[in-house]
Amino acid sequence: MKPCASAKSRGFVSCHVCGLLSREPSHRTTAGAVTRCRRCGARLHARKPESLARSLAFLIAAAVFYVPANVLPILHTTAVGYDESDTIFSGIVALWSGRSWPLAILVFIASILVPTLKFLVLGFLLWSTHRASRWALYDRTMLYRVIDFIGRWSMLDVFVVALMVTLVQFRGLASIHPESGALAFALVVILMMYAAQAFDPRLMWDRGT
Amino acid sequence: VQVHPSLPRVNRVLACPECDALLHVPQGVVASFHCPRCGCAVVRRVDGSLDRALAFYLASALFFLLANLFPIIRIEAGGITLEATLVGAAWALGAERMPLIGAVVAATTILIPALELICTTSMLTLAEWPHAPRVLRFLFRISQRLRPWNMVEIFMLGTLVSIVKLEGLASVIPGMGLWSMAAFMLTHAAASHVFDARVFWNEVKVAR
Repeated sequence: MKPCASAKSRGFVSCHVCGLLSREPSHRTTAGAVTRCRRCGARLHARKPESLARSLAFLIAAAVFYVPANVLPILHTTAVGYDESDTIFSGIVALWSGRSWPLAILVFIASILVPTLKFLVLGFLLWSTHRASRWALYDRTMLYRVIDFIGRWSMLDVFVVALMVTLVQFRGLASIHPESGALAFALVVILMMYAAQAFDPRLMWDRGT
Repeated sequence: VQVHPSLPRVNRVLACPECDALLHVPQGVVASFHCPRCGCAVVRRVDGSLDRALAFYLASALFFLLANLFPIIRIEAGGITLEATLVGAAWALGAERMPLIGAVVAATTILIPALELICTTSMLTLAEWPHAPRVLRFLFRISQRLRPWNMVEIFMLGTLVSIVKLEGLASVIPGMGLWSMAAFMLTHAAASHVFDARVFWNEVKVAR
């Protein structure tokens, strides 16, 4: 790893929207004023404000919904002689036993593996950054990149619920209705996206180098 | 590091967006440049011409319109045919006393993609004209903020999962909306790949 100076330590702020470097305003001249990027007009912050606290708050909020999202049913199917509720997990089991193995694996990854891993990874990143850990900075940055990119794909199951509910409405024969687990799951995905967006990976490098 | 001499100049000093390392990017336009410290792709481009980005965005806007107008899937069982459109899916959830999920689906698959397309196409069109940098700044910021919340491609994957789930229950006919959505996915991915914010701001500066 090459020794690098951070932009912040040299008095620069990079715009988080367009990437332009600006001189960090001195506190005397701009006390209380909002500084904006001179190119794209976004608010300038050397680091995302209150990054760790905000990220942790979103993560805790997501954790609250994580249990109902996995325990409560997301779909209710009514048909002649059939009346059953499906959770996320039982939906995957149904796909698996229906011999749609690749799809079962896909839904398992999107709905169970990714949210769980994202939860653990972001928790670990927050904890290690809080402790100013120097350990594996490169790999931790990569982990952040991966979870930030992949998290949105967990929305998959919510869209499947939306389509099934819309399509399967054969009155008196078969119908599918959404259940509260789907709402909890959508909230988990959204809150986790906010948690990842609030986290500033540059803090790891500030504190670890 | 590949240097492409025919393309316009860019800022030579940049900060890595992920680790804040102060980087000296070689002169000329760099086709791809990774941060030596954390490996983040700081500069990445194929051919960042704004016209190509605009063409792809316009094409994806057209396909997005078609994806919204035509049904995505149609199912048939016992003589009854049912179909789902994008709006219909959000509406059905609202009708099933789940307006919040309905709103999430409507926002991520209709409203946000539409807004993003309006912002990107209008800012790329306006970039050629020598006025309104304020409007451009606003459109640029909005489009950047909205990007992660545009989930049409995930909805598309969800459609494929639903088709497999429904196959045992009814005969499934993929509709025009599904093909349009696939075309939207490809053209939109191409557009955001080709669009280069630095070239965009270079052009705007010239116009001013």
